[in-house]
Amino acid sequence: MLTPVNMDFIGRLRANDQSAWFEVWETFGPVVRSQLSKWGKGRIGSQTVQDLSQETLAALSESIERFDPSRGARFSTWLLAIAKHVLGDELDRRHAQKRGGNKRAAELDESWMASSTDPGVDAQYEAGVFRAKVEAAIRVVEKETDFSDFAIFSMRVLEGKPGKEVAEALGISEPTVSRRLAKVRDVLRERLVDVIRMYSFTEDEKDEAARNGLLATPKQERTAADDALFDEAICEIYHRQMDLRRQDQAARLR
Amino acid sequence: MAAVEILLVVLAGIVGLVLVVVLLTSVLVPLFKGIGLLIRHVFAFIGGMVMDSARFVGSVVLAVLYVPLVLANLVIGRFSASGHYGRALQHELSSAGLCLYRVALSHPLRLVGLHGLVEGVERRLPEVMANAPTREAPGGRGGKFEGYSIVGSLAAGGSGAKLYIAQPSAAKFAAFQRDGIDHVGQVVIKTFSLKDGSSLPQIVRESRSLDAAKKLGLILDHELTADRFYYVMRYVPGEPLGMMTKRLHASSGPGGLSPVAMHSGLGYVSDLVSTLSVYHRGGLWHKDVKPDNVIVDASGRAHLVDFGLVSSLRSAMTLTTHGTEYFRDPEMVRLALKGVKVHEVDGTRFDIYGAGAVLFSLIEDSFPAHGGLSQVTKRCPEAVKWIIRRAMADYDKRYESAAAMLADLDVVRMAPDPFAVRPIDLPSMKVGAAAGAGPGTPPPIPTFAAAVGALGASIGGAIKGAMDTAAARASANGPNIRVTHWWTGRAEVVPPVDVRMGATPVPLAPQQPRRSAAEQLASARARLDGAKTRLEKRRGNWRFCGTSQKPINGGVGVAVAIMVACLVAANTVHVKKSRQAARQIAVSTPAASVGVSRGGATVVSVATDESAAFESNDHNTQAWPRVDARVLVINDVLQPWSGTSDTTLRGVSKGLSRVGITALGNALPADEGDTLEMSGDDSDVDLIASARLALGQRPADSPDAPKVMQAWLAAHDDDVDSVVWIASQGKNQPLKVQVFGGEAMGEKGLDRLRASVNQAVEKAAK
Repeated sequence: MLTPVNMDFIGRLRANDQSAWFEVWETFGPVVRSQLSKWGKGRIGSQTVQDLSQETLAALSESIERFDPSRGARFSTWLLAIAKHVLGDELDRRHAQKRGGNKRAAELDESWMASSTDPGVDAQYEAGVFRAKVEAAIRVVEKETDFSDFAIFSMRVLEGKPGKEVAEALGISEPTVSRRLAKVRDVLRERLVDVIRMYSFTEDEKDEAARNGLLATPKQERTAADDALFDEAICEIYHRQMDLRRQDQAARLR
Repeated sequence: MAAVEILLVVLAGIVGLVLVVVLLTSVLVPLFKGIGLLIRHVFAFIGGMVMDSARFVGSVVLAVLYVPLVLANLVIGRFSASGHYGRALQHELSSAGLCLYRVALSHPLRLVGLHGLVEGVERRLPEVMANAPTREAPGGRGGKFEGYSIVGSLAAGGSGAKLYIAQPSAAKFAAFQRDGIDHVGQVVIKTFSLKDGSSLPQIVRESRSLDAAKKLGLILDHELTADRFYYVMRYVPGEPLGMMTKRLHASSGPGGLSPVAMHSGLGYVSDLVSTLSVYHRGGLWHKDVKPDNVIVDASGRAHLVDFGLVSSLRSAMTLTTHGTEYFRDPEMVRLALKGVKVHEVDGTRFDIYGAGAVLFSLIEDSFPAHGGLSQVTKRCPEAVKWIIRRAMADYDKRYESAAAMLADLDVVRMAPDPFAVRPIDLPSMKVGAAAGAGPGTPPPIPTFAAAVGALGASIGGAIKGAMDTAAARASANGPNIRVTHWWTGRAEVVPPVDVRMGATPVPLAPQQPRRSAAEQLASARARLDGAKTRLEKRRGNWRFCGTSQKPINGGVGVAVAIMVACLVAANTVHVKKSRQAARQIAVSTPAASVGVSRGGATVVSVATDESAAFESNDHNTQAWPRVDARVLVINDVLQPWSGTSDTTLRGVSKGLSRVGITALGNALPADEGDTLEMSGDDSDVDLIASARLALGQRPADSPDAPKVMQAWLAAHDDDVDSVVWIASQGKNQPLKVQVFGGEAMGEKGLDRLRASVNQAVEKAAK
């Protein structure tokens, strides 16, 4: 069952809000391209995968009218199905052109929109989608928090610098570093819940945060160990996501 | 004994077993792996040979089939279809050629392990060929360029234009010198021809940016005809920054830039940011900042080139997504997709993002694939990391101006040990010393020679003076956009955020709402009607005197003539005396000094008879006679305005408001009761830039400023009648308000304007 928030998001996509499509492609583009490259090994060149852009996806906005989320489709599966569909369409078009232009492009099979059956995703792809959601949450936090607070978070958690070093670099005390870090961490916990909810269609997807050690423990029950665990998980996810983006970049520039 | 033998046997067994395991893991496993790889390699070779042979045959068969189709269509006159089949034939032939190359060379060479040789031919050779310069001279279709002789060419960029290096003729050199452009060597001609495949939108886009770039002296010459458009700019010989970066990293090792290379690299980025600062001060933004658009010359100076996307910061056009991925702010794309107009955002911040991305790529020798979250992994001073982070931060949190970024960069670059500089040591982090952001404090002037580079010192000097303090104001004029509901994309306009440690946000002064075109038109018509009515009234009065129904005898006529002559004589004497007094007296109010300039004479800012007459009822706008003039307000005072500055500016606003002035620009605060009409047109930015350029480095109160401005007003009398120039004289100093009037305004109108402004400023100060 869709929540009002993600219904709103789907509404934006249905309304052909190009910025919403841009968001989707900016957030999930690398993981989808990675999966498509994996699938299309030998058949789909990196150039073709690279040609999949948010504009191409946005062109499909009319098809989304037929999307029925109540049939239990996962967001990750739905996302990949769109990309697969776009890719198939693109390949058909190219083949049709190559044949001399006398034959129309193959008819689009849009049955996947209704049920979203078996695009054959694996656990690695699911993990990639989840990491992309966490990255999106970090970006939201970057927008919402003070620049210096987020810089402290970035130096302390994402770069793994000791609190003392951060304090010296910024000319503030260590307790101030801890206080500001805690502020950003709290915002991130909240935004993680929002973002994961927005990009989730099933209950199973919504539970991913808990499964990955990012469960939002009530504030009064939180211990230093909880915070350390949270930071560690965020750091690992961020670095894995960064690796993925580097690979994606290398493939696109190849 | 038997036990010992058994023990020995067991030991020998164990040793044998270990040896077998070692043999298996160290010899046999790699051996089998190698055999596996070899088999795979051979199979890949066989597979490749078979596939490519089959493809070759297929391509040849198809090519043979296409030939009659091409010829048949040609014969029956279906030229388009013939062309279509011709292209298909070309595709098949190139495919067949490629397959033949693979079968004959690529696969056999790969089989014997010569991957390096094959890669060189297959990857680097096409890359080099793609980047090769185009033909040396334009073909017949491109035509010739009058006054230029082509001496070379450059690789075409992504815009579809052709680039030629040319030598201007003696006549062109003379023309440049007449326009005040010196030190011109070879030039680059960028040409778009519809016949050569350029599209009309490209030509329109480039020609639009041309107007903007010309104001900064970046464009030397241009021509637009029915089918071709070209413009001429200075030629900067050198290498792109991307290539220089690779060279610096190659000489430094895999860990990152060496201290010497770091210093050179920071110098390039400093030059880049300095140039951006000049652009922004001129009311322009580059929009395509990337390493390939930065050329490093032989002396080690970096120059920003390619003006294809340069546009005015106050343009009314919708923001577009043009730019280069990884160096283009994703926020700009989001806003463009939402249909936001250029003047609704602060374009300078997108250039600053690009500069941050260039700095990142210099340090990492890679692209910032993670946007603002990209992490520097190579050796880098912490302060440089901070600068990158701050430049690529979220839209409303990054540097407010290029000058502020430049100040930070220069601190690191000039430091004996850049690694010892902490982020807290950067100027932007110090409270009260925000580079270019403090109230009333002009931003540091960039190293201009470096900034403008090949533009030449004379033009550069003119621009520097003209654009003083404009960058921060341009930055302040553009509102900050904050996304309030990120899942719906709703946004709101917020005051700028001061990200200095411990600083509190400073709210922007209220802006005049922009009026619609219809409202502006209605307002202009109303003013025109008013002027017509007054003229009719005056004519009516004159007619009454001249054509009275009562007969006027000769004596009355003579008496009237004598009286008029006396009045004229008295007035002449009075004006002469006033001017003499004006040359001798100078009065400054506590908050501001007002100078009124006309025809080379600086008139003092004392209250005149007229202002005194209206002083008692200055709040009553009806009491002040209306002045029908278009006044261009140039406000050099940086926002946020201090209390005294704000008071003075409100005084100027009131002074203009109560005589019914239509002010051009959008640079003055106004009280609720004031009725100052601000046009808010985008063309105002052009006018302001033009006026600044005319005045050059001179301050607005310099002795020859009136003469210069009068000449400028004469040249722009279709648009402007008067200029009110408000300049800061330094922190805690009163503002300087200069009023320049053109011939068209009339003596009386200027006196009224002067009186009104003067009195209002004095009143506000009290």
